[in-house]
Amino acid sequence: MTNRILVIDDEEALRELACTCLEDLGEWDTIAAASGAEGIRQAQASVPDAILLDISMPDLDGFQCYAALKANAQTRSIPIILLTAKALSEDRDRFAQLDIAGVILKPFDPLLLCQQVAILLDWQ
Amino acid sequence: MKIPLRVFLIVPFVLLTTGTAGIVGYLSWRNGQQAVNQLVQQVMDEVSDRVTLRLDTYLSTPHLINQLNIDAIATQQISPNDFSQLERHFGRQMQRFPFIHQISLGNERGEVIGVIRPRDTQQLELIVTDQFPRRVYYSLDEQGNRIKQLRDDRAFDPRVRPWYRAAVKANQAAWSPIYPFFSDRQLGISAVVPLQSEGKLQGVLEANFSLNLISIFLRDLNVSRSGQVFIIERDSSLVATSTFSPTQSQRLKATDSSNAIIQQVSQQLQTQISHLQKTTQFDCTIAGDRQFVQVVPYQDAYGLDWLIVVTVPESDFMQQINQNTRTTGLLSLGALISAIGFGLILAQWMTRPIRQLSQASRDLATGNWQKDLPENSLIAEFQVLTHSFNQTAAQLQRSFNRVKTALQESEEKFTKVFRSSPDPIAIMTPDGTYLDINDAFVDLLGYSRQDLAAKGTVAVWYNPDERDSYVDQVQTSGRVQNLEYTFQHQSGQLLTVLLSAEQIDIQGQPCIIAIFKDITERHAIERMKTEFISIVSHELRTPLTAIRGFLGLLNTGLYDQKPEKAKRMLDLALTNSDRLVRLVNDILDLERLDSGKAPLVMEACNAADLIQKAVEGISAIADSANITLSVTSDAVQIWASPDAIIQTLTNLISNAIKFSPSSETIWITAGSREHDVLFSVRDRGRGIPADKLETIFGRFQQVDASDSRQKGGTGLGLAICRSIVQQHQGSIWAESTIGKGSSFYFTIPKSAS
Repeated sequence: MTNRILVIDDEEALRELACTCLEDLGEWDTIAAASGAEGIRQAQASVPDAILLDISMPDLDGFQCYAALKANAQTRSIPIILLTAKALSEDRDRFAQLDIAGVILKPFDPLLLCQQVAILLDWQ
Repeated sequence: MKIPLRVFLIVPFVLLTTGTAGIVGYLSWRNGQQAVNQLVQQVMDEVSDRVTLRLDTYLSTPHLINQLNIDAIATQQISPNDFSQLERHFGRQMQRFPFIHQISLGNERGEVIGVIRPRDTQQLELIVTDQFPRRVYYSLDEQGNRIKQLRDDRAFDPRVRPWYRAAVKANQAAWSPIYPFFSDRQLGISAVVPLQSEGKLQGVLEANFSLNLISIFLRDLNVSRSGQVFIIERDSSLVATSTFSPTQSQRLKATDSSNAIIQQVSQQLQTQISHLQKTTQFDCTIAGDRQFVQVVPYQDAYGLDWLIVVTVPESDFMQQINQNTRTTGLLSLGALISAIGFGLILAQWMTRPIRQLSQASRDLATGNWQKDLPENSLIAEFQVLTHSFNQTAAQLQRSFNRVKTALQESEEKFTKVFRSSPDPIAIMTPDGTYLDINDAFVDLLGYSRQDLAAKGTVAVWYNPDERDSYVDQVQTSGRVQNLEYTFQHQSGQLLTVLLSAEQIDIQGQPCIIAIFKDITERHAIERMKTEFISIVSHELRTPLTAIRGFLGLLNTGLYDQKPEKAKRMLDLALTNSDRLVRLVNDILDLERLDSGKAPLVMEACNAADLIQKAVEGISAIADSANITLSVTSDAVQIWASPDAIIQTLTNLISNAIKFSPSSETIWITAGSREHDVLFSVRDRGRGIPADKLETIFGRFQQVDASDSRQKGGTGLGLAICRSIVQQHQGSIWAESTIGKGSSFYFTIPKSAS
């Protein structure tokens, strides 16, 4: 059974990019969510094997979404990779405290993205 | 303890004068004493001598008479038995010796003949035992002839009389004891001599005199004012006194005398009276008065043994001395007083300038010095001193005034600086009371001066912990520099201030002087900038990520055999590039407009023309969205930058197109008003919520996050419109009903204002 990746990002272009990247390069299934709230809903519904989470979203931002996912019993154990444009030291400290599988900076190399996800899935 | 100068001058002066006066007085008194003693001595000596002399006379004469008579009898010039001869003889003798009382002869047969001078008369009387044994008195005339018989003594026996007996006893010339005369009871004394013939006693010759004589003599001596002389026998019986005559027939003892002096002096003599052999002096105090006493023994060859006592009271002589002493005392007192008076005046006169100087120095030291000292002292040194002092004081005053002026000017300068400084400055105590604040400070915080003074710093600090930490820092390191804190305006609004403070000492009290800078606006601006930059960077990064991603995917060669997919990748990359370009352009436009670096160039242009151009430019997009553009516009002139207005219209119309459902219409109008032209773009889209009608004109503000990005918007369109309209001195706003549609309005002035 192929793995399924949930992509949560408010930018349509980035969602399309990530999904295309993961489907074509990694040959995984993808689910796209356009907001944090929808992302949580989808995660609970379809329990993906990994989640790609954009940090900077309006309304329910990445951190809050992460918290919600970790609080939920179903979604707690799903590994999360953060997508972010921020790379300042205080941000890195903040990420270091989170229980995440990795951080990918935007703009990203699609190959790199797929490699990271692959490694993650292998570890599963 | 400080002694005034006057005391120093007067006291020695006074002491000296008093001392001198005292010594002089004492010496004069003592000299007086000595003089008195000497004088008294002299007086007493003289008195004693005179008394002695007189006694000699009085006492020697009777014996002489007796001796003469004895010799006369012995040479048979007279016969003791021839009484008529004796009568004449005694009469003649009595006339020769006025103070003799009686001369008489008594014989063994009991006969007596004598001539007597009675007490109160000068007329002599004969007493003779003519009618034996009766003694008859006859008065005699000056020739010695009998005048007449006077009286007689019934029985008179001379042989029993004290005088006869004394002669018999002594068997030679002697004195009888003092006894009262038979004839007149006077006290007297008889000189007697026995008359002998062939070894047998025939009779006795007698010459006597009254002791009164002596008393009279003593009385007339006038020893001194109250000096006395008295004569006593060895048994203290009085012989004679200067104060009274012992007239009683009874002998009076001196020690029993009613005369205090006689009584007491004789009393004093009792111890030595029996063996006093030479002149003795002593003094004693009787009734408070000192009495000088001189006792001279008087003896003669016939057994007389008397004492002459002379008493002189000191007071008799002291009167003069006392007067002198009193005078001296008064003079001394007078001298003393005048010395004190003079000393006072002199001291006053001398010390006045010194005191003035002293007082003036004190005044000068305490800052109260008013006017110059008078320089009119007679003493040269004082003149110089006061003059120098005045000069010095004047100089001090001048310097002081100079300093004061300089200080005042400096203070004024700094007060002005403080007051009118554009930066808020406050001086406060560490515990939060405002000591002084300038106008800028009052303006900064919006409270009144009184409020700030009353409330203190507590009112303005938003966070008390911040304040505490700031005060600590100032007190530990003495200063803080450029720290940001939050204050609260009186209206409640929060301010961000930049605070620099330093701890200073004002009159020994530690205070803090702080300068503030209101950076609320700057802060807000900076915050906005930071926000803007983060948003922009985010906005830029997204299309970049897309471009990079899609091109990266293409590059993997994955889509070499899938041209459809490949095309799609390229399209997406291209679209995102366009988006990036538009974003950059909009940002630059906005920055240019807002910074005012390239102000819009205004000209007169036609509203209708501009709308026309905008519509033309956007028609292609409208067509592809199947939107109809309906235009109604006045051909009215406006004062504007044509490109900018076209840009504004284009943005509004393209927004309307984005949010209108398909096959809808968008109305564009331009209507002339009094001073400006009102443009409007109306659509029938989904509308804008009322709370967002203002905010949508902000940068990157969108009604719904996903919206216009989806539709390719940058989020800056409306911000650019607003910026442009504002630069034209116009206004822009929106009205909307949810579900029905929205209308955007903006005004442009007709002409340059």
